[in-house]
Amino acid sequence: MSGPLTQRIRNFSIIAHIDHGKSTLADRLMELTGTVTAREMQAQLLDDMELERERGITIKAKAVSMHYTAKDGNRYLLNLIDTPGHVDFSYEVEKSLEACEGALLLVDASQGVEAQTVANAHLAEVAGLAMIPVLNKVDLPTAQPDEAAMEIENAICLPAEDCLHCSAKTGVGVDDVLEAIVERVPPPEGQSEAPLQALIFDSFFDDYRGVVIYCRIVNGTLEKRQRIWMPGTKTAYEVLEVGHMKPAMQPRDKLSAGEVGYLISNIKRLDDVVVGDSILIEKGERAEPLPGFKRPKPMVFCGLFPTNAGDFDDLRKALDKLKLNDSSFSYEPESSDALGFGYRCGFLGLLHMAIVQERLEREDNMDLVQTAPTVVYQIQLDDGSEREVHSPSELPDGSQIRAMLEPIVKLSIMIPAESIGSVMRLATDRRGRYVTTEVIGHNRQMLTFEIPLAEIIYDFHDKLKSVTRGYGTMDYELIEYRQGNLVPLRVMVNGEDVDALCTIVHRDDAERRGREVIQALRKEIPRQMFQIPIQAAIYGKIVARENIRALSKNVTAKCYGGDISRKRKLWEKQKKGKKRMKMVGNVEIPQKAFLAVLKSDD
Amino acid sequence: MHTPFCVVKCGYCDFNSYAGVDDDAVQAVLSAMLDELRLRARGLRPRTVFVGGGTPTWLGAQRLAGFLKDMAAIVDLSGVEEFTCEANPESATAETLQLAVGQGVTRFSIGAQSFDRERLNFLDRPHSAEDTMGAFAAARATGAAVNLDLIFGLPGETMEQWLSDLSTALDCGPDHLSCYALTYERGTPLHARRARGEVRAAPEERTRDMLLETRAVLGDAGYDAYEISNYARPEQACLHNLNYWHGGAYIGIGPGAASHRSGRRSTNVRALGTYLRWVRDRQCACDDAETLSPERRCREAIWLALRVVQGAHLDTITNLTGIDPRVLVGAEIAAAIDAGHCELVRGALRLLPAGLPFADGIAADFL
Ligand code: SF4
Repeated sequence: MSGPLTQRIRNFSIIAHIDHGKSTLADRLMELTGTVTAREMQAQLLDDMELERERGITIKAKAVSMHYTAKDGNRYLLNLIDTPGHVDFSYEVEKSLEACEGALLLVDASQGVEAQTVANAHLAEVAGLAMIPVLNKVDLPTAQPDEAAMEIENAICLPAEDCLHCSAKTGVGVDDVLEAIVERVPPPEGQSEAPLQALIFDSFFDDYRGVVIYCRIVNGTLEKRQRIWMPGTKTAYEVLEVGHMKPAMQPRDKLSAGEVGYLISNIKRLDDVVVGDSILIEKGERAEPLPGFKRPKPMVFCGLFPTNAGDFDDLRKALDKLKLNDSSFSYEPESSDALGFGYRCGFLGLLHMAIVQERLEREDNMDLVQTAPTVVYQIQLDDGSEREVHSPSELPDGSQIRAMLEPIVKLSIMIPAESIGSVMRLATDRRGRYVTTEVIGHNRQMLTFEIPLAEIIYDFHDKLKSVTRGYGTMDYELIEYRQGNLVPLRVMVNGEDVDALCTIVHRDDAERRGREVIQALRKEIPRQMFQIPIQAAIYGKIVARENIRALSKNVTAKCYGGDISRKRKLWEKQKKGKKRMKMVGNVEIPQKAFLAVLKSDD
Repeated sequence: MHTPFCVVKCGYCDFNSYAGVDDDAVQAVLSAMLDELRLRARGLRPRTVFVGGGTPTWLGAQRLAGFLKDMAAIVDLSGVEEFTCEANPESATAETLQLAVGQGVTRFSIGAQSFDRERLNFLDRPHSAEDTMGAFAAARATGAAVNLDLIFGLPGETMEQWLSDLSTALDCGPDHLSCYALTYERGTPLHARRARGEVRAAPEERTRDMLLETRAVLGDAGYDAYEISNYARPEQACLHNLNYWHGGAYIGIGPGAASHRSGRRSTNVRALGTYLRWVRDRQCACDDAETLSPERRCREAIWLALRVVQGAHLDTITNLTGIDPRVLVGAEIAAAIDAGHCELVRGALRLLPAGLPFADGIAADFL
């Protein structure tokens, strides 16, 4: 067989909130279609990185092809394209969805619709996908399928009666999901005879084979030994291998219009491939590039510094290595008076940042000090020039600044009705401007705000979770840059200006933020053998100050019964904690203190 | 010898001890301990013996004496220079102590902790000050050396209150005093109470002052502060404990007991049932062991020896571990001296009075 007819192909993805069971459903689909036997099945096959498994999300999209014989007796090729489950990767989600004709909208029957699900459903709608609402975990005693179906109808405009019921865990109802994919998702359109046009929706780096691209053939065919051209990066390659993912790579002679698969050329660096770029033929009648291509820009920056100056080289190597597998993050050398040499790193969002840092610490065994994350500010100077600032310490002298602009996002928050008051307060306290409320279910509402990104990048999500007792979910998208009355808040520890503790705050909040920062630092910086004054200042004016009293005693130990190992291990552990501190002047400042400057204590 | 039984469990205690164990289980544990002793120390000729726990006197006169007798049949006690038995006031009867001395005990360590009813109550101690006085007199009457254990730095305790405890203890005229600051150990009820905000730890300044005052008072009374928490009349320092600080070898028998030999440290399993099974089935109760590299051993040696008045004798540590501390932790040594916390005297690194309040932190810098 030379490849299934286009009519028998279904390309689809699964849209779901974290924990709503996407990976489990994907596993079940693969098992039922015999793509992977139960024995081969590891839990959450698609989420193959340890970190991602722990966080319960899939970060990188992947694709898997499954054969399924439907009730109509025909054999179909179902291509499941996995989408990243987090707001930081919304551009990648968009591109993955564009590679499909349909999407399963998976909603946990006891949790209901979440903000992120709505956001991704909108993306799917824009991409013109057929959507199949599926209620998962209907076997749980807490399941409220009717309520959840109503929410889907209200929030996403899909008729409640169209909802399928299943339990990905037990397998109940999963057959119906397979049938629905065949019936309700249209087959791909596209001409195999037309000139080649393919969409890159993901890529990864394989140690042996270099960069592997996942693509969707929109028109034409992609064949071995073909010369291809990528307009986004303006590069040409020869195709070495194409094939399907089952989920292991299975080479084929060619991929035709409507198909999804992988492509290997001689591409050395992940950076040379950009999601959303097109694959065209190099010579001859070349088709137009697919629309909507852009390079995602980092939205959040922070400094990463090795705790021991001697590890700088190792940090560079570790970042190089990481970049091989994650082209969306950026880094450049930075030096700080307080922290020495390190890197200024840019991330798509906060989760992305947390993942990168954890990976560095875990895989490369690095001890890092991370500075408080910051957004990108646009500065207009008196001489008419403009520049972007990725770090508060780069801020030019106040007198030269004509205007400072900051990124504003549209923030959607899905919450139970009873927490409206506290969420309103949370958002407006952080300079959020209320836009609308939409009623989604009988006890669920979606609030929309316009809010500076800087106000939500640190602990906003945690705060939201706590005021909604875990039920609130959020999603955001950048709308524009707006001018704000912003000032740098500088921090002095023991008389020394610590650049890495500087933050940019709104002028009206500056005094309050100053006090909060000083309070937080007072808690985080351990008492040392001398008194340490800490102060916060705006343009030279002290707005808050505190003293950390000198340490007076730490002698307690007894080594009863000679159990010395236990005592020693305790101390060794404490010492390890100490290693994560940075000596600034003669004061030891722990890692947590550098982040505490963004914490709001309310 | 770690006998893991007490009449009640004190709220601050994180030793491996259990209250309310029934007689059969006690018997089983004691005989398993003798089995373990046979397996690990038959014919050994120890220099010091320490029977602790737990509360050895909780066993009662007959059971304790019988146990000590069985012990003496396994190891050779002819070379013993010090044989300590812990005794708690509520169970340290004249008979029990007398019989113990009959089995070779030369020193009693009495868990007095305080002489104040309220403070004893706070510590969940099941005895009164009078019990302690009685126990002390009974111990004295046997002719054995006597130590009193005291705890200071309780929440709300004033300097006067502590000094009054201390002088009551001094009035007894013990040969040795152990004065520990109250610590909040993870997993104890006291720790949980502090976490819930029910009790508030004493301010550090106060416990520091108490520590310094204790040294002054006891120094005047003729007790040498030979270790951070331990004070002794001349020639009465506890050899058994000094051996711990000097990195010596010892065999710990019983549930949760710790052992050390040439850089190999091991700890027995703590749970009684598992201990019984392991001794019976595997002939070994060891749950956790580590063999220190010469380097870590050297670090550990300094960390431990800094607690003792003579300090860490660098050549001795070099001989013991094969690593010269001056090479391995030269920078740390220099820093401690620069900071005025330590001094180097006749080849030994010692804590200076200025460093005393930070002893733990300073010593841990060498780890
Ligand atoms: S008497 Fe001693 S060993 Fe027993 S519970 Fe109290 S402190 Fe712990």
